[in-house]
Amino acid sequence: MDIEERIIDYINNELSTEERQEVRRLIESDDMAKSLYEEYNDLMSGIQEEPLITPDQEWAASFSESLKNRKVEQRIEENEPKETKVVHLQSRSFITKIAVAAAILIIGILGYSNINQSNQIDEVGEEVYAMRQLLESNLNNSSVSSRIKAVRYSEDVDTQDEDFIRILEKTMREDESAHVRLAATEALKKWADVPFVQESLLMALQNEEDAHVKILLIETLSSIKDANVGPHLDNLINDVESPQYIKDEAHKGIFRLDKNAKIL
Amino acid sequence: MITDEELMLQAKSGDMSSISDLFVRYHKELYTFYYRQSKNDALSKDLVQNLFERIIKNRSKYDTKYPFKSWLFKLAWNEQNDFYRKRKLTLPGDERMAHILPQTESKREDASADSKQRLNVAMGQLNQEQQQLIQMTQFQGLKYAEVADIMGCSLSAIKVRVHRTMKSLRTAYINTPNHGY
Repeated sequence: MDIEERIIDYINNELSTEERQEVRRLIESDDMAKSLYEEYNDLMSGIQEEPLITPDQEWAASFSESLKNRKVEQRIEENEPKETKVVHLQSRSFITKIAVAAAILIIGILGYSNINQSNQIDEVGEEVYAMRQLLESNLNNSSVSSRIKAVRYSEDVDTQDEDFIRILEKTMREDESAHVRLAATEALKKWADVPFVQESLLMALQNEEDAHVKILLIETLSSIKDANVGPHLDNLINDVESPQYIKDEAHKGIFRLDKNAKIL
Repeated sequence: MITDEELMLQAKSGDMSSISDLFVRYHKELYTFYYRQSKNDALSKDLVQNLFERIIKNRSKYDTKYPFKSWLFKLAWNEQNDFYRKRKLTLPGDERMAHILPQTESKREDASADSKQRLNVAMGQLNQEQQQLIQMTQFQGLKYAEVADIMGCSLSAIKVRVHRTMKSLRTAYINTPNHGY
């Protein structure tokens, strides 16, 4: 180990007593070692003196409150599997099955006697209806994590129900958090061949300002067979205001479209 | 005052309000941990929130014999790495990420400011792992052994990385222009 490394360990208090004494003697007797010590000490002190950054306290208070309330939610989640055994669902994930079953139970408790609601359930299927209710109520949650979680539930749902897909589509366009929009875009991938979803993805591509979401939109759109996608990607490439990395992604997207066209 | 470990014990027995207490205690440190690397407010908040979801999910796995803070930063580190891995991004050093994040700290005019700003500019030139190492060893004051546990590697490997990181930081600092640039 060279002297520079021993000085770093010395300042980080990672040496034994004997080693510390040895380095201390060296610093006192050797000008180069002393100069190195002073430089590293200044650097590390400078880093350690940096104050903590305080995020906005409204957010902190709101999330802290939601964690306190989690007590109830958590208990519900932990207890529900036992109560949902008799419900047969077609979606794939066990967690989703539990969530949907819970929603069905809640709907049942809150107002299954309501004739209109009952008719609606008959029309779309109680599973999809319950899932829609669950998704909608969770997407109204103020916590970003809860909204992402709600979107992720939907990834396990196999439905062509337009209302259900439209909830996700609206989230992809309108949610204030880029991370929720990103999750919704990801979830919409499997419905990307549905005309109104395609149209919405193209619209989002024009309006989206977050780079992560925009890149995912390019990837999603370039994986589907649609004649309208190419011109939209061309627009991005030709737009002088598009950052270079977006243009690069659009180029890759066009390459993928060409490749898909050749395969097809 | 009730310790972190005792709060986790309560959380393990189902009292979620103790997780809220831990959030109150640590949210600034965690937000700072993420923000100093990403310079992105929304992303840092999301990562903190996701981290607490992860704590709730993994609370039964926590062994109260070990310091909570090490375990917390292990999860924080995993959360951050998973986030970037899923999106195939690293920061900084990845050109795409460098474009995506606000670059206030790497602007040339910042380099002519005082030594603190010079230090920030130098820090901004380190790669993601190096920034994480600085965060853990300098800001959080974690020992090499704790960092080795968090990053899942040997103590000697961490020593080598810390040395390399500090040498890179010194070089970057020296090469960052001072007043009169």
